[in-house]
Amino acid sequence: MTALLDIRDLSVSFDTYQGRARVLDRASLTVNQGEIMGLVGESGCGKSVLSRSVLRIIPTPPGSIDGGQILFEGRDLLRLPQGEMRRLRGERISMIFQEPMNSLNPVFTVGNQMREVVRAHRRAGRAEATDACLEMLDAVRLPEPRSVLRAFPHELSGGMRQRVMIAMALICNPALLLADEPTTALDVTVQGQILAILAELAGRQGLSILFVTHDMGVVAQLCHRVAVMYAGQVVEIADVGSIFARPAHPYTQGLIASIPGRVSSGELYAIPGSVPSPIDPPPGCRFRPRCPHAKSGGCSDVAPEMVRVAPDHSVACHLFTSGGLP
Amino acid sequence: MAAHPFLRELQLTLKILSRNPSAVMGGVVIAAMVLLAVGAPLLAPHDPVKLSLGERLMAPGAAHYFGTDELGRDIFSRVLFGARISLSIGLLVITVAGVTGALIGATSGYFGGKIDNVIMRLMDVILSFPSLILALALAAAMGPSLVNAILATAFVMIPKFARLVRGEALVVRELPFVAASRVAGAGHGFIIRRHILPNCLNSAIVLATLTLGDAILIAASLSFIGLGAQPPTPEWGAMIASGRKFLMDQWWYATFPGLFILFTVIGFNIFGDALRDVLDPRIRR
Amino acid sequence: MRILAYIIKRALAAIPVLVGVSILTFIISHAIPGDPARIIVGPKASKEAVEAIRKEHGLDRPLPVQYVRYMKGLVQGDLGQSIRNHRPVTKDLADFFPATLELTLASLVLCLAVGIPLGILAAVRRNRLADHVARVFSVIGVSTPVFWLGLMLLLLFYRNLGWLPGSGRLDITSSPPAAVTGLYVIDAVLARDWALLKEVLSHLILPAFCLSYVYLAVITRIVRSSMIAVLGQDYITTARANGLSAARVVFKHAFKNSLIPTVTIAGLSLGELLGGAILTETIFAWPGMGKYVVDSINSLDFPAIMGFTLLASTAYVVINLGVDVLYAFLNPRIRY
Repeated sequence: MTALLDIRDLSVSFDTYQGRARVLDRASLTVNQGEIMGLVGESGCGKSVLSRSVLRIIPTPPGSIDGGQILFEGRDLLRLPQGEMRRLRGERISMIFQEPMNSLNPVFTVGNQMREVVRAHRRAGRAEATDACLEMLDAVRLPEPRSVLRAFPHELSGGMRQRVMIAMALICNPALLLADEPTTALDVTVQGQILAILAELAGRQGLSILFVTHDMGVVAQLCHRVAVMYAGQVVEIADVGSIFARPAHPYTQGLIASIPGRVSSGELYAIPGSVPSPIDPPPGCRFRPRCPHAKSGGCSDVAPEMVRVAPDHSVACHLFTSGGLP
Repeated sequence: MAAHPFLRELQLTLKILSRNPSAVMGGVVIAAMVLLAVGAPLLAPHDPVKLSLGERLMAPGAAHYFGTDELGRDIFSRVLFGARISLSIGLLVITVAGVTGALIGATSGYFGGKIDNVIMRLMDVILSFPSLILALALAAAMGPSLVNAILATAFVMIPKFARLVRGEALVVRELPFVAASRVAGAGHGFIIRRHILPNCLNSAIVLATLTLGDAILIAASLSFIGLGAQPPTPEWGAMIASGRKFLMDQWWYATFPGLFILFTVIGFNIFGDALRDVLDPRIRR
Repeated sequence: MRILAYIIKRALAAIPVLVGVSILTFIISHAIPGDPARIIVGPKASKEAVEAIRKEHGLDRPLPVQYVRYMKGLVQGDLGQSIRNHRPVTKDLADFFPATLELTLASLVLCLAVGIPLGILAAVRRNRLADHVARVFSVIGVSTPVFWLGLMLLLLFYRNLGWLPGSGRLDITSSPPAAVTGLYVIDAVLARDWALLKEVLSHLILPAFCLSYVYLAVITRIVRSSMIAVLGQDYITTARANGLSAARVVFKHAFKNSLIPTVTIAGLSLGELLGGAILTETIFAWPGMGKYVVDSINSLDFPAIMGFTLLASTAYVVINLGVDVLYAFLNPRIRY
């Protein structure tokens, strides 16, 4: 399978009151054609920044992309001129966001906003654009699409708004969808519906998805492969079956153990300690202070590199050497 | 670090302010004006009310930095004394408006219900008049004098302070320790003084600083029209009104007092803006 | 139809405010020192004449009764009689109204045409040079005494440069265009009298600029801050992520949302414009209501002063009502 999206050693930092925060530190991952890739990690690990960097919608006064490449269909997006990048957005790569409450402009109707996206990317009359919108609203299983088009965002429920967002994102038939925690703010039942729609559309249109979430349970439901992030770095990448069966990195193990109901004793597990500050990250492995298996010496001095431990399973951890698990 | 919490808060605020360029600039201007005002008797080279008919309408020069007016009075000295008047006006206006507004607002918010409704409606009515126009009507009705101008200006500013304190009162009276105080026998006045007023101090100070500039402008406008300070009082607005007659040939007469109004109000506005940024509870660290 | 219900609601809410305004004006006019009856007839009239006037105007009746009389007069458009010229105040105000309207409208147009783009520029180029310049200009604007600014403008453009005239709406020798609207600019255009139009405009520029100066600063500030707030919203990120051009994002998506708080503040600050008109008209000898009220103050013509106060405040309330309605058109969320 060819890699549709290939992120190599991406580093991003932000200017803050306390100094320069290294939010992403040489993060790398790939998304293949037709697959749903999960990107998992807790708040502040940089997963949102990573997905937004692909579209280059990070605000560049406080933020800056310090290095790396983002290859999409062979082209490095970071070297692309603004005009070309804008053409890609919404057409070849789309994004949906977490907060459906405020993600649609409250003073324009849904139809106004959707038609605008269509006509921003191709020549279409109002009728033609409306038809495209109706077709898409149907695909996301919204009842009464015509009245949805006439409605203002505040007249729709959270789940309906998120479906509208998905429809808007996919209306130009992009190759890649970046989904930044689209179900986090929704009720569990609605969440299931949205995930089902995404899975169906992905299968039907050959869409690849980078699905950012903090919820391992969602990953299990939806994704083919998953990347785990911690403190701005990618620490483990594997196919979903592998990662749940044999989680390699101690952080991943902690994440899986934290899922309520996973641990048979009935107690809730939480990884002790807290995420390090991105302002002045410690040398060596960033997870070391919280790692139950930390070895003195190596773990504190040298940052671990990604090594392959199985056909579709890589991990960045000093406990592993290339070729196998200990 | 001082021990008393209020003083400590003050020290911390001053420290943050000193890092803020706007606050420093505004603060310097205000301090300069205060110095001029306080030191006017010492700094003024001439007596501001002394006539000198032989030196009428002289251009600015070594003897008279800002020139002289139609009665030979030294404009520079008059401007310095005008600083006293304007700053006093500003202070008096915000004191009267602040105290009255605070009392009204505290009563309104604390007692709530019908009282709150009626009082806030009254405040709305006052706010329904354009400020200068209402001040003008009041000053005209009361008779042209500096004191009346101050009262009229203060009246117009009352609703802002009332609203501020009322908002705070509404929040505070729901707090459990207020109910506890009542049970323990505290009177309404005590609770208002002890709990409500200190909480709005920060916002009140910001409001007062920003309002001071407006107060000076309104009072100067009233004097300009003839409703405020009366001659020979060297109030800046009144001086501009006199200077207007001589504008074409003696430009200095109306220009300098106005420049001083401009600088003073700029100082208060810049400082007030910076103060608001610093004291805003959301931004404060 | 939901909009109509909202409009009616707001209109009804404005009525008690208007009543309050009339009451306060009435109270103020009774704070006037001296005997109101004597003020009307003058110091030389006989005692009987004073008594007669007192009875005629109902000044011997209790205050609430006087108020009712006053209100009755109001709804018939009677604001009393000017002491100076014994004409109905209403007629005086009507005569001077067009000049003030023209000045105020011209200033408003100037403010919006300059203030809105300036505010947007400052927001889009936040913390860069354009922003700093705009903010400095804003602070100076709200701190400047309008009457002093007018005098300085006269010094520069009239006395020193000689580019523009110093007073009135027209040269002394000229006569106004045929009166259709009372606004000389429009009337001159309608009459196709281009030379006269040029003259009218040359008289209008300085006072309009002077009056607009303070208000401009307010508008720039509120446009800037509301644009900055809007540009940080999620739906702006969505619009960008969908590939819309920067122009579309700023001028369609952001701008309409930023108008919502802007329009409210602009309406409230209109009071500054009305107050400033009084001072500006005085400086430039502009024959409007503002100059009329200053002349009235100098001759202690209280009916005129109070009539003007009532009219100006009522206009202010009605304008803010209009702002409320406009707000409903901008913001679909409040049309309940």
